[in-house]
Amino acid sequence: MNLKMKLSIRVRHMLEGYIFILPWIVGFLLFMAIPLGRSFYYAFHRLEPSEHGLVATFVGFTYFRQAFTTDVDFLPLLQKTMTAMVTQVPLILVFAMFSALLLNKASRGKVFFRGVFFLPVIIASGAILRELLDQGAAKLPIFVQYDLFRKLAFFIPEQILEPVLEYADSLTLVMWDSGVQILIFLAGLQTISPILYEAAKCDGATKWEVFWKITFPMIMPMILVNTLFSIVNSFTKTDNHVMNHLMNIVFRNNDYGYGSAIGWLYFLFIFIVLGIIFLIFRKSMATAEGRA
Amino acid sequence: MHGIVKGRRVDWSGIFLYVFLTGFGLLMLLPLVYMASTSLKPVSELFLFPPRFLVDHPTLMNFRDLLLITGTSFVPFSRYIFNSIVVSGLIVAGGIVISAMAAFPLAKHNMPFRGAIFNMVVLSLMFSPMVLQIPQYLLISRSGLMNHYLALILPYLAAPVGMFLMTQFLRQIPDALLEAARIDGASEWKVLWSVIMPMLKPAIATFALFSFIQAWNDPYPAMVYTTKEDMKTLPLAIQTISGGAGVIARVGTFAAASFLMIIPTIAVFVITQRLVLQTMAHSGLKE
Repeated sequence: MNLKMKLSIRVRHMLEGYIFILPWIVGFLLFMAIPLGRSFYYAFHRLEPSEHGLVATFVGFTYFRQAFTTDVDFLPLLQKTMTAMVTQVPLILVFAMFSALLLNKASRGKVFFRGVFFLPVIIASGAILRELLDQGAAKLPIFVQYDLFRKLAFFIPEQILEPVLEYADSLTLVMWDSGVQILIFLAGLQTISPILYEAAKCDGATKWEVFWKITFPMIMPMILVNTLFSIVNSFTKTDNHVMNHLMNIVFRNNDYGYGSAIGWLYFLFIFIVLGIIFLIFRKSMATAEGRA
Repeated sequence: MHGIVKGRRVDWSGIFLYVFLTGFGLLMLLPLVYMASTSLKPVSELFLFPPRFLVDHPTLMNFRDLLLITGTSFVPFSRYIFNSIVVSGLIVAGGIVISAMAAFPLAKHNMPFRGAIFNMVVLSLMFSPMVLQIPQYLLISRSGLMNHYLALILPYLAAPVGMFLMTQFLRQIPDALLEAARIDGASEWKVLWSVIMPMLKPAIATFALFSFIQAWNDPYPAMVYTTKEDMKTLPLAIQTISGGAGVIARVGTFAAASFLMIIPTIAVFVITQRLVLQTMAHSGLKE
């Protein structure tokens, strides 16, 4: 008590603040910051188990070189995730925005539909989703059951038809992946003040114009958030190929050093992709703000 | 208010809206329906080719098998359920308290390093968890926490997502409220529990939903940090039921198990959904 009185109110305030943050910081350091530092250290070392625990010997950039030169799987898998990301993220965004617009308009059964659209997020957990995919649940049954492929092949050359159908096949996957994005868009749509729409209506704007001049610019920030979220999500999903590759290296081959190196390379790669997205959006964000 | 039919004129856009919503909604429901129907299929229908979507002769055999199979093995199925509930429950509860405690000073106290700490949080949102897996595993195994509930819980308590959400949300609460509480003689601890916590409810609900789904569904921690059968959590146990060669005959049992597993998450969503949408609108995600 005596000590407390001596400190000024400001210092006491600060101290109390730090005490409140402390548990979080300790957890963060122990389970995020320190492991991150360690894995960086491991990436440059060969780890061998011995009776004194793991012994690390410095190997420099060997593992990083190995990833690009000797590992036959890493680069193709990286390319595969990249193509999956490029094709799926725009689809997810468009679909999520469309669904959010519809959901926002619905007056009856709002809660029910919202729940239905969020459902895949709940189900689409690692174990269950992977099993469903194995069983072919992600494929739209129409294509197989009604022999659509052969029927369409009469009209459209196969070279074009095949990729198109493959794309259509991944559509269900896209829909299941967009639950969180729909929620974010929906929240964004609800923050737009109805006054703006009223003003536009008075000025005689069509619905099409209202969407592009009001709704779209107003939810631009949400689009950025959603893009980032979808990209990170597609890179760290449980059925991601690079992730599986890494798990195999670490837990089957017990190659911690190489695993860390690949982990860091992958992280850098994600970081660069996110950086590019930020650059693209900075421009359009600026114009959106200028208009508002 | 706005009915589908206004007066005598048919409201086409309304019809269009509900047709689309129902259509998409059905597509979204497909996996659940598929899972439910598979879990009800008798053996004779499970392996039909081409696979049927709906079940012809529903039976509860699979659910009975689930209890029987796991009942005869040395760990009863209820043990996995218990493990999962304990682990997810503690992760959610602990995460909420720790994140709220940290978010309060980050949003409302004026102190050095505040900005640095917050930036660190934002940056760590971008880290893919995989880079951390190896050292985390080494840390746990060296500290002797293997096969202990703490190993499944501790690494997930300091969640950057929860902290970020709550800090953003708290920034919109007027300082005057806190000042009033302090003038009335409340200690900081008291302010946190009787003023901040009730106001944070929407953010807490959102975080609870996300972290519960994450914790409940993630087989990874149990896979890595436990070696004993009786410490496994539900998702890992389900993977074991379905996985491996020679257990093909258990597809139906697997479906039954996964179906049972979704029920709690749906319950949590129904409870929290109203509050969740509130936070998203106010959490300052738009900045």
